[in-house]
Amino acid sequence: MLPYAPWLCWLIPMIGALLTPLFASVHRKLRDYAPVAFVGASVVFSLSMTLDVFTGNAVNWVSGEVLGNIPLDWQIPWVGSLGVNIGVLVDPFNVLMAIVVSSIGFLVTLFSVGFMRGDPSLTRFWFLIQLFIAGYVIIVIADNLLFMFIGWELVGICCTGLAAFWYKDPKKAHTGLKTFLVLHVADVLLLASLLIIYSYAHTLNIMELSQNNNWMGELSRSGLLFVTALMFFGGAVGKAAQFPLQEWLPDALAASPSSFNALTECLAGPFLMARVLPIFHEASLMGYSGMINFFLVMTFVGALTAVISALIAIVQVNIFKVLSYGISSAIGYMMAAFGLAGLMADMSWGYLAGTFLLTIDAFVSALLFLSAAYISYAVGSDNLHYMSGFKSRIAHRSMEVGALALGGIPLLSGFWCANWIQTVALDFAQEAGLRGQFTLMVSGYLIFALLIIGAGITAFYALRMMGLVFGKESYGSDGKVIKNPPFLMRSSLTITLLITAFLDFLAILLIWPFNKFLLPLPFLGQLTFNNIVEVLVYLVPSISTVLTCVAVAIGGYPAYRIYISHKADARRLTEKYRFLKAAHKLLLNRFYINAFYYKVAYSTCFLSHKIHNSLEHSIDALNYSVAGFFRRLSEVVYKYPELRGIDALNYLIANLFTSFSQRFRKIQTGVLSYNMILAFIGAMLLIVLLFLFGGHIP
Amino acid sequence: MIPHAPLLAIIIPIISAVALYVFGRRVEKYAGWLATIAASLSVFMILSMVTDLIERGSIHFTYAWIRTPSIKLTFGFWVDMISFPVGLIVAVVSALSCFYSIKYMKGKSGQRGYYANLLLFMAGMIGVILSANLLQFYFFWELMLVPSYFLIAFWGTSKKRLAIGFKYFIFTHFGSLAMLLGILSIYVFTGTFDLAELPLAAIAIPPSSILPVFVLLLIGFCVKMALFPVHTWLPDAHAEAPAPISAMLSGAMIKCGAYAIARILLSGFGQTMVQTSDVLMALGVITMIYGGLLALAQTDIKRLLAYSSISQMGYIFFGLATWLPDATLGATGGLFHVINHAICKALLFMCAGAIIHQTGTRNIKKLGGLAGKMPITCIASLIGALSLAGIPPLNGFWSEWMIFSGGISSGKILITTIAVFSTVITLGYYLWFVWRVFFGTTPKELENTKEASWLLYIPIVVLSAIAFVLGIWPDIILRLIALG
Repeated sequence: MLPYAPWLCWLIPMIGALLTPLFASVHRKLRDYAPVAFVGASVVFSLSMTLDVFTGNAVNWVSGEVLGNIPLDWQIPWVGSLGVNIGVLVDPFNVLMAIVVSSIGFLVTLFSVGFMRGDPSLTRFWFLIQLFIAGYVIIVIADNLLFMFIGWELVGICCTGLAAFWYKDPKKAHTGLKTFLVLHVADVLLLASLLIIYSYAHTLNIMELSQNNNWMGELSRSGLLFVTALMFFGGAVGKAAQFPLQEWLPDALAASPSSFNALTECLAGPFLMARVLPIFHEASLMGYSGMINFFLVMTFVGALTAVISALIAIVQVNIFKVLSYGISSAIGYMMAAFGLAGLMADMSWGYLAGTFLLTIDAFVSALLFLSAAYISYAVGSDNLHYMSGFKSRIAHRSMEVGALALGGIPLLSGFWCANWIQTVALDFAQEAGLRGQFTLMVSGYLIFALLIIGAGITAFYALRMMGLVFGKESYGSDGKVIKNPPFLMRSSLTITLLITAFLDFLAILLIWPFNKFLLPLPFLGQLTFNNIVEVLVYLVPSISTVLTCVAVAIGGYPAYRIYISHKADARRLTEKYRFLKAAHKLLLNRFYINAFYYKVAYSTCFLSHKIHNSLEHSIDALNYSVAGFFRRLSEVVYKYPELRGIDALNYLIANLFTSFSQRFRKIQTGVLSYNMILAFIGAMLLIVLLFLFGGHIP
Repeated sequence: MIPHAPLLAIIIPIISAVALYVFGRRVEKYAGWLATIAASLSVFMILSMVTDLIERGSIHFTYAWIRTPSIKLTFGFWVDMISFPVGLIVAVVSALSCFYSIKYMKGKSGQRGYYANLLLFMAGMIGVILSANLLQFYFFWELMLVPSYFLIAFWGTSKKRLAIGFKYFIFTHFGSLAMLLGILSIYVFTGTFDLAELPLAAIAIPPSSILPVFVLLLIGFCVKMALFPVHTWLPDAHAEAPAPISAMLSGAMIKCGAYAIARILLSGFGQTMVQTSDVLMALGVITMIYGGLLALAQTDIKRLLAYSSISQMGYIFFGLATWLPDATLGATGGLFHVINHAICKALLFMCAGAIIHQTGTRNIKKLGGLAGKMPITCIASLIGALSLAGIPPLNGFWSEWMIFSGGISSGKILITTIAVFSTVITLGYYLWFVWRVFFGTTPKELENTKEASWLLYIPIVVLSAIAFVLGIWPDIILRLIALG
């Protein structure tokens, strides 16, 4: 690898982000083109690690120093007082994802130079985009979950910043707020589980967590393993836009500058699950209670999302919303694959299926989002109806490659991946059946059915989208190009198209090399597929293939009739069948999940106002009443004991003495004879008293 | 180290305050600058002790005070891994607030009196934190109350300021009295006021009296920290004071309560802390959630920040309550949060001050879309808000991580999880605040708003930079914090 490649692949874009304001003050052009260089460098550094993964030895190319074997855990101390290290993990999966993320980042950067040209806030845009890419690469290269969490939050912040990029539009600003809050709910779940794991394992290093699994035993004994794992998954659910937290994604992507959407941060969710899956699978193999349930939850969440998101995608008119529900649905497949991997004794099938889909889908989604951004740039609208009749060869081809792969059209990547995951589900059901676990077997078949249904719906909305964008009908811009996409956008889209088409058409042939590339991962054991023929034998002659084809045909045919050949009219159909109308309404309202969240938010605000006006006021009133009580008490005390009591007594005594002296004064007559007589009487009295009581004579 | 550094750190502001007030008529124009110089000198004095502190771990300074046959008292300072970081941040926040006042309080009447009180207030806080004995601690505790009362009552922003200042005074003084009773009881039982001797001497307190003494002290500290339900003085006082004083009240003064818990209760009453930790943690969580919910209901910028201070005090209190003799991570986190909250809340109050200064309104409903007009304030507010909501890589994340880790390590998993979830509320009200003020459409009246003058935004930038640097490299401060 190039020197410090695993560090520089995220540090360079981060430095680029921090330098953006400086570049902006030097020259506008420098600011706009520098990101291409920074993110490009990140791609080069990521790519340079491939050779090390192949050879199994990490070697610094410049100094020739051998850094160690793959997986290489490269740490440097960070927060010494907490024992926290910052580190990167060079292993096949991380390197692959780093390449995927940085190269998509590069394509997006290239595209954005053209797409965002002339925007007044480009400094902010480039800062956010580069920081976003840096954060994303941190997620996929970090060796410990804490560092990964930092990347995770960076990505969340940047996504919020981009969703609210045009902050003067109150709706878009609001979307940013909503995005961050929903993401944060998930992040808090993740954080809580990380805290629990940390306090039991005393480390968050991924390698150490998987090597030493005593901590899982302790967690399981304290009954927290299931909850912890579930909260961990909750974090991924939020980021990956899975049911029930999927609602932030479509709005965020519709609000943000659309070229950014191709970065699909939500793929960080399935990545995170793939990263820790071996650890949780180990726990499941060791028979810790709750793990089976955990994986079942994960699989069902994935499968349900695959169906629900696909259903909602049907009725969306904003192309970015269609695509974001589409990607949410695709991630549902990945999550289902990982869940199934955890449920089975040998996790490599599900794991490979999920990670393969993750890799391919990153490019497919990028292509779809870029072509959508391209079209929306050209026609000046995000609305599918306003795009209809749009003609551009490159956009058309890109959309085709992407949408047909997404829609599961046979022989393209989406078909193979869905098929693979469904086969794994069938395998699981059979495995559970052989072991006599009836519930698990039923669940397996249920998941299989959900995935098949999902495939059908996906075919429907993918064809609908194609039909609306490129169909004959034309209103809105009348198919006219309003703005001509600049050269950089076209070239970036072309490169993306070429890469994706390669991956897409050759998907089935790539499975075996993919397996071989990931093989150094310790938990995969030996090769799952020994050669390409085995892949074909495993995937092609199965019941899943037949059913997928049927589902795609059932889903695709009505879409073809309505949106491509225009033999049927969607509006007339909904008017004719009442249930279609009801379903349409339900889907337009996104199953009321979004509304529910708003309700929660409003209720919280309402509650806070209530508390403010009742409890807080009464506490304050209590304080004042205590103060008032003392004031009144002081008044009373002043009035009665003080004024009428003690003070009155004082006056009384004073008056007593005065009156006594007044009376006594009368004696003082000043006549000498009276005085002499009284003196004589007094002397006699004294003598008598002395005789009576005086000291006795010795 | 400069000889007598802690003494100088307190004496310089006091002497400058007196000098400024008595002889300062000629230099009234420059009162702010002179006060800032005095405050900065004080910061410098504290900072000068850092190398010796790292070498020796704890430094004692003793001066003779009262020497009669019946009472022997020394006057002293104790600089160690608890008092130094808190003292430093208090001094820094005060010095920056002083600098901020130059522009913010320009043209207000009674400049000399304002700065003299500000310096006395600062000296009182530093004195509380560096005190080596309980009696001296109490004296400084009262010294910080009086000038802050004047600052609120005379330089406050509304007609209600006298009443609010009075409420503040009564509340805090009530707390102080409870604390004084506690301190005197300690003296009666142990025969010493010395803080360093407290851990050993506290054994002499009879078991039946430990809890009452503990509760008396705790009441005093809780009132200062404004924990639920003795918090009602805070929103009034902090919202009423001028922005730089709010920054000092929220950023520095209420931390004295937290510091006192770490200094006195954890060392002298550790056993009682552990026994009552369930109640204390619950109190912390209630305060967190209660303050957060109420912040959500506010439409006045400064009241919102004031309620958020209450909520944040809940975090700190929670962290301190997780303390166990062999597991101090949470309590260390609590102390670290003292510092982080001081930085971020001072930052936010100064941002609020800049907004009020530039727009003339403090009603959130009348603000909006200021991001483009006041970009520095906007970014700084975001840094402060995100940091306090615990978003990495900002400083607040680390302290919250430590606090919650401490909570889980001490075995209180359920209540800690509730505490972790309450950060959603924190993020909610902060983001909503930032969004309503800086994003969306700008009202017509604010079309001509401009970024605040550099005199206002330099402290803001400095504090944001500290927040950011501490987030990337928390060890700078963390290795100066150690609970015995």
